[in-house]
Amino acid sequence: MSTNPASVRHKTGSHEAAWGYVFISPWILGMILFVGGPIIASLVLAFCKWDLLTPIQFVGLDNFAQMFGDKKFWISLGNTFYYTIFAVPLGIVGSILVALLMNQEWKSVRLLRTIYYLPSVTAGVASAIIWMWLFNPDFGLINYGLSMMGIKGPLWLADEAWSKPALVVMSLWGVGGNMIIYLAGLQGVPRQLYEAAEIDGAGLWHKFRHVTIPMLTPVIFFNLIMSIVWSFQIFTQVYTMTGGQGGPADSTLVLVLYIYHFAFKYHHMGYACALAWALFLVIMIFTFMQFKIAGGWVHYEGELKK
Amino acid sequence: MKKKLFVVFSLVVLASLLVFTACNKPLGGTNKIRFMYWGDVTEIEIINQAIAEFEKATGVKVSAERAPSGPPYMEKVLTQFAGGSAPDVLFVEANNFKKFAEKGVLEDLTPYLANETAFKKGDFYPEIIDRFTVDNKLYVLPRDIAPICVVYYNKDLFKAAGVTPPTDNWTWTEFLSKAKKLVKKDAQGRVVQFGFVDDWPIWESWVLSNGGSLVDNIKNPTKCTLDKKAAYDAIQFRADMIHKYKVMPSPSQMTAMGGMGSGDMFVSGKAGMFYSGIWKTPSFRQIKDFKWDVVMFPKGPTGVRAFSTGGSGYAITNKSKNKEAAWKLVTYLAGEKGQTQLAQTGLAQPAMKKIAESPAFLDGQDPKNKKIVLAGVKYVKFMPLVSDWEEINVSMIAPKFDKIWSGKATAKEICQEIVPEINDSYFSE
Repeated sequence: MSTNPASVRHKTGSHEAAWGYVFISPWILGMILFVGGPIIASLVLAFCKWDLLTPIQFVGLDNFAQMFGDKKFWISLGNTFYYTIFAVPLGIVGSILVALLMNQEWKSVRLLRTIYYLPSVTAGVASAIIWMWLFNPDFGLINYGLSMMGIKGPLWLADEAWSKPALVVMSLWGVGGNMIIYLAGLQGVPRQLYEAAEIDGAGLWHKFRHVTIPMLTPVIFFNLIMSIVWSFQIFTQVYTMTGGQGGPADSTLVLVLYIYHFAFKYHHMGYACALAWALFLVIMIFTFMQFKIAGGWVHYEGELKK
Repeated sequence: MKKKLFVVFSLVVLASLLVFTACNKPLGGTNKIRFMYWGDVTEIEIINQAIAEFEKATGVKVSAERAPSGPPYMEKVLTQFAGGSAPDVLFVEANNFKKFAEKGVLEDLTPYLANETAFKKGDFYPEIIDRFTVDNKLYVLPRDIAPICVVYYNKDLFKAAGVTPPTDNWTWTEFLSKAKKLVKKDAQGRVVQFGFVDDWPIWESWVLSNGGSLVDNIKNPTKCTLDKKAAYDAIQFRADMIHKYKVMPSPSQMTAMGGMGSGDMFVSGKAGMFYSGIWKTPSFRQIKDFKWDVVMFPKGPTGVRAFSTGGSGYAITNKSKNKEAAWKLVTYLAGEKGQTQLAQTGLAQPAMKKIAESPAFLDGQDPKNKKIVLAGVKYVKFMPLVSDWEEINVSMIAPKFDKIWSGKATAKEICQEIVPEINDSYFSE
């Protein structure tokens, strides 16, 4: 029976696959128990009314209907969009610039790379507190710097007109995380492409524009998707810097904070779940759109062009 | 082989599911009761002591769980209710208890109290008993009442500014003129010493003492009344203290303090007066640099005396398997001994009148004028008794009032804008 080599291979294969399942079972279990279950539960709850104390009531689409008339939902969605629209492009440009700098053959470049990457491994709450101090209107480093240039700095987090820009400025602090990915991308650009470009008489800018950028597009695409997903879910910084309120005057009330308010402050679990699914839909739509547009600008070196 | 392993895999999944469900079951039988509370270090000690005595006397084991106060506490308690493992005894306060009472998860304590021999209903301040009574059912045995009527003042700063110390009979006008005289500025015109700060924006007391109200009927509100002149004028008064009279720091000035709370400002001598409840006493007793005392919150322009209040106590959940033991535990916690020990910490005013009036509470230490909180009880006004009040406050009032405190809008504009919205969303039946 086992003289047939094909059958032997088949047997080992299935054996390996089975062991594979055993090995991934802790992850699968975690997924089912702690992620899958809650996801399904939240989907069900999105169509229910539940205050945690009394039995769950099915209310159909009421929660979603409520959203349309909920002024604060639109405010929070608007705040989230504002943040995303400014923080994501700035973050991408910023991290590419830093990556380009860190890709030079300097003596201490390794140390600098570490320094730029450090904020990414710092706890969110800790860095939010540091930034509260930086934004301090009277004693903060930022307004001190501005005053050196003769500019009277704004009140930042205490002013509803400047609180969102403050969050965007703070988001730049995280460029080091994406920088690492761009750096890997930059170092993966084949030398010969630059050499070929040089032979054709390309200068620094042309090499950057026509070699570096196209070769980086898959990485930019990846980072764009991830950054948008993450910035739609901004929470820790806002929660820490505004004492959980999203103030002043709702100017930093972002969608996840709003969900948090409904779930854990007002205990309207159903509405909170519906909001969470609305956020999920928004993110899905944006990601889907990006994949649709991607074909036009993302260049895959190994891709077969039709 | 594949099949076998799949079976093993499924068994592992099943087994762990079972373990998880088993963990979810309420612990112990009827000879054990569970108790949830919040509190600071000194309170934990008192509670643990009461529990130890209770266990010794009854042989019933208590498993006590503590959670940080406010939203984390509610989150934990509600999650346990949702999971079908609610505690037997629950610490609640004057505003959040409604959430439980309204949903019918609390035991009516009226018969228990009627049969109690160690103390009776009349021993407690009627104001707090009344608060915890809904439709003639008492849901909470009160532990403390906390009239927010305490204006702490820095005697040294008063003396330095040549201002006569306040008396309990003062009015808004006297209050304001004293506050103005306490303000000090540096060479650049920046305020370095404020006349007055409050623990958080306690605008309610200004509204109440101006003869205004938050809602038409505290126990059964049908509409919000912040759009009445008496209400918005009072709110404007607090805003004017910031922007017109400049005796109070603005929200941005508070931010500029870099995390220093208003209580810290008082402690560090940067504010002459500080408004809060009596619970600040233990921490202010650590003040070495100046002398301080307390005075009652000022009367309104028409002589009305009123302020908001806190209060807390113990409730029993009606699904409890051992209500007799649960009540017994409550009597240990909120009984004479528990309240006496609490009184001695200076943290809270006992809900039992005779203990509040005893030397355990009026211990002769600072503040010398502590008795004002006893006199204050009859002027207290609780928050509207709707479980959504916190939600209304956080979602509809506070963010809009930010604009008043920052001077970007008048109280009248904001109140007239939000009241119809509040009424539409919460009081339209």
